[in-house]
Amino acid sequence: MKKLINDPNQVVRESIEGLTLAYPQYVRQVEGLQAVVRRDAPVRNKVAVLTGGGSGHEPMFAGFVGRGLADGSVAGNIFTSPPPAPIVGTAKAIHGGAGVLFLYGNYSGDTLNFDMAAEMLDADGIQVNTVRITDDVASAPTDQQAERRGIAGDFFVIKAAGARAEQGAALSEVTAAAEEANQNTRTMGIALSSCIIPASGRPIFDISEQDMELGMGLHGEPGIQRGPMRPADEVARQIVEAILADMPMGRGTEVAVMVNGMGATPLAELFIIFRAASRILSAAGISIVRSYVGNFATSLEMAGCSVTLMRLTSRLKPLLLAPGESPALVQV
Amino acid sequence: MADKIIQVEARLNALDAAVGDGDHGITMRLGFEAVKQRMTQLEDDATFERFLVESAQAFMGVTGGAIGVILAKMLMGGGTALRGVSEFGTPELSLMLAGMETAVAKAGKVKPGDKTILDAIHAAREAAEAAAQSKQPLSVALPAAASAAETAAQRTADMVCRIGRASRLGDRTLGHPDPGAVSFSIMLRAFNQGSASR
Repeated sequence: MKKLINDPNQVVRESIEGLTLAYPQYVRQVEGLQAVVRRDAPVRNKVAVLTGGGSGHEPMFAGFVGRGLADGSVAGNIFTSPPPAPIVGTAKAIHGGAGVLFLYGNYSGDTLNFDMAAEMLDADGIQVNTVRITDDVASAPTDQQAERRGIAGDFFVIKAAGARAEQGAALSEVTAAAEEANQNTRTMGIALSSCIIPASGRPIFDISEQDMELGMGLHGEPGIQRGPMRPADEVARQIVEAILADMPMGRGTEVAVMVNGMGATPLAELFIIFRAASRILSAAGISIVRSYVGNFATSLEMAGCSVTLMRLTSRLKPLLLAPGESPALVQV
Repeated sequence: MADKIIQVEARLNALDAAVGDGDHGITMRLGFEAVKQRMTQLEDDATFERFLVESAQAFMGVTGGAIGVILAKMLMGGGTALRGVSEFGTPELSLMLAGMETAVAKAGKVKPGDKTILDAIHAAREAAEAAAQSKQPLSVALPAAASAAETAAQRTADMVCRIGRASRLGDRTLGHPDPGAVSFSIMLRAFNQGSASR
């Protein structure tokens, strides 16, 4: 497998340096840490939103640091949650006196490390709330949403919380916005081929040319159902119907939609999936207020995509539409 | 002990690829390289407690992931159990393993049978306690604990994952031992070999 890297053990360090050199107008690196913060951090009297998790999902998470989005992001090794020390260091770098909200995908590793960091920050007098993102409908049944993992829906929760924080809201209000976004966001993905972790050099799972893997996670771990490859319209139907079955929406509901590439799928294919998804939604009387198509939460060079719907309640809609700027997204 | 872990990295990666994302070996290697580094900085008369607590901090400082916290808490649990201890015999082995087991059960919210590192620690602790009760010397107790850990780790292949990322695979995890349990058994065997050669 050919990769555009140098030393496989320096991939994360070098890519963070590259990111901060490429977008100094939005972010800077925290000295000595695998972490980035918004250029003007700490922003006084504003809740600081801290995100992060394993690397290998770029642009998630560091790509969404900036005004109106996250204040900081901590990068673990590839597909590995960061340890507590850099989480604490980054939280301190962004803390503006109004507390910190941790937002990250629901994985046991992230939970263990971020929780430990929260305890350490609490001991230092910094108040930390946590919302774990659980948008993946494939990963647990409807009545066990708290067990679900966080995938591309991370974006919508960061967007809602970031916008609310930018309004100067208190920690409890920013937390409530994040929770509401999380509760109203659902995603399902499919994988067509595996990715390769730089330091190991081999695909992490095998899949034939004939098959696709439904319900895979963001870390390239195998999904829960494997079946024959289908045309894009059928794939989109399978995914959207699964989401609507999990979060039923009546005619007239407004949503935001994301079709997210897993890293190796061409943009043209993502648009084909979007076309099919939008037709299904239109037929159901669901109107799309804003769309996002591209690579938002990848899995190195996995081929595949995910579709996310965020139901726009009256509180979430203005937060979604609010401006924000970051290396991966500028919204006016 | 740290060198042995580094050597088996490839085996642990292959194991982890079957049920996870294939980086367990990498994580263990990074962690134990940091532990090795920290050990060279420790004073010669460092207590057992200090040795384990420093190892915990070194490991957690560079790894991350669930295993980073779990292993760090395991080492700290073992260290705390050895507070005030200056000689290491079978009773101390038993104490250390009990401290490790309690710490991991609490940190991971797991119990034996969940197909995790705890299964190996639990088996090792039971073997060490049995050896302590029958007053066996460390030269007997430590290999027995290591063998018990190895057997328990291999037995995890017959269990279905209930915890962590691999738990979403359900029955597909059958036939693959838990990488954490295997790592622990390797650690204990290496500790045994290191002790024997002194």
